[in-house]
Amino acid sequence: MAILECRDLCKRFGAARALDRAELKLEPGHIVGLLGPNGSGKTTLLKLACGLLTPTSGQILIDGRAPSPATKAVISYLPERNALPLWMKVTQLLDFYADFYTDFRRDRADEMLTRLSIDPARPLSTLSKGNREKVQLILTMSRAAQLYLLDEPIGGVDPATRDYILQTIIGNYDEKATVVISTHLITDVEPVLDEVVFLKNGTVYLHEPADALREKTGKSVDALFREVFKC
Amino acid sequence: MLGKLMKYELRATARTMLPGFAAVIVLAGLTRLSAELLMSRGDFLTLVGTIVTVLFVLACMAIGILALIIMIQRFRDNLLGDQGYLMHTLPVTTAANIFAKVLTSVIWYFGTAVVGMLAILTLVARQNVFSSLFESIKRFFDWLTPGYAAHGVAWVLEFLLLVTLSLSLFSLMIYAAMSLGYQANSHRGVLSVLIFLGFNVALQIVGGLLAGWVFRSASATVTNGMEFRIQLFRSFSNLSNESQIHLVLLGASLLCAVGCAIFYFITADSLKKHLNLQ
Repeated sequence: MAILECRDLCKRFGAARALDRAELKLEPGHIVGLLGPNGSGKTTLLKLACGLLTPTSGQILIDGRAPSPATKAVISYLPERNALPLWMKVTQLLDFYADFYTDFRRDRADEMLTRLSIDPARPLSTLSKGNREKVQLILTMSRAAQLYLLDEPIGGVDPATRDYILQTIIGNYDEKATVVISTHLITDVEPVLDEVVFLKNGTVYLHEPADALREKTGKSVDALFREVFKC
Repeated sequence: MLGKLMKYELRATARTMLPGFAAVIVLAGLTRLSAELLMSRGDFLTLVGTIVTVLFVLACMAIGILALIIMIQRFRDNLLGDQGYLMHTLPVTTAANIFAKVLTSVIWYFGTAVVGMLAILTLVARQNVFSSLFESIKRFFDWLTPGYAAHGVAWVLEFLLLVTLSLSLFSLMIYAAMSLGYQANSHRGVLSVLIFLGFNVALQIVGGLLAGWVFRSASATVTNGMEFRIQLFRSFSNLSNESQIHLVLLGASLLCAVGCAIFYFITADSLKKHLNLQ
């Protein structure tokens, strides 16, 4: 069964169509690049999967079910913004995740924090913006979720941190799980992608395995992206 | 999951509320001391005493407003702001998220009332105040007949239910207004205030209509269509005084519960279907 499925999925904001009859089926066990220019519907698709938005029409299914508290239990979502309460200490955030998510692996979170020299006793408000983003990523990737939805995980960070983030993603997801990385920084993520989805004007323009796509077009995903979305 | 949400909600709000409560109690103690030791000692010490008293009055006013501000701020930041990305993706229902906020607010309102009473006790307490207080309570219960005592306990419980539901209604009315106002892309705060005022006007109108209905029923003579209402009012008049009080308290609670249900559904529907996280 597909871990994420969109059937004729539409989402409108007033007159604007963020998603327009999108059809998509993602199977478990892949790292998927959800690629598209700004305003192509990437964030909207992820928000719909997380139940933060409701479809205007059509369906979005997680493991065969409509978004609900049960599907939220199997999704690990990294939003584009920092959503963590700044007053909490890092260790309190770990407690928070452990309280709400039965699949949270505290030992893995502790290990990653130690490797990054982030003191768990410090309140989030005293950490730098970059370290706050890392804490959020660590919390997201420390879950043994079935579906990871990462919205622009490498946007706005320096190249060294990008490498760290990508290594964290690759090194921490369960191989039976699916990781969806939404980004327009394709060069950085291309090496880790198994599948590629191009979103164009709210529709799924292309969905293929990354290797097959490179073989078929004779181009890198990045080069193909520039061609398809040429202004 | 509601318990876990409330644990974190109480922890988040206690950071502000508990120091506020402590400040009120400490200032009450200082005001008492200054009244007894400083006020009659001369110009400068009287001035110090006056300042302490003014600070105490300001702290009392601030703590009342603080609970309200925290309630609004928490709902805005935690469910309608960036933290909404975290809270709305937890494996909990929207109802649990809303009830955690409402119940926490009600707890702090009661806490504020208790601290207010403690502050007053601190101000007026004499050496034997507690023994005379307990003595008065004992005398009161001795005076009560068993029948009245049973009614009394029930009245207190009914009154507490009414207060809890009234406070919940107030919180839910604010949450409903905010959840509607925050669907807009700009001027969300102003819009929320206007919607809240609109809700108040609607409640006034409904309350007025209800009061008018009761008044007309009480003063009506037998005319067509009024028989049922007259009968209803007579049935109420025929009840004992104790039962009338029960009926009024429970009736008011029922009205509050209906209001709570309406504003809960507005809030829940907005959060489920029209959430507009920026």
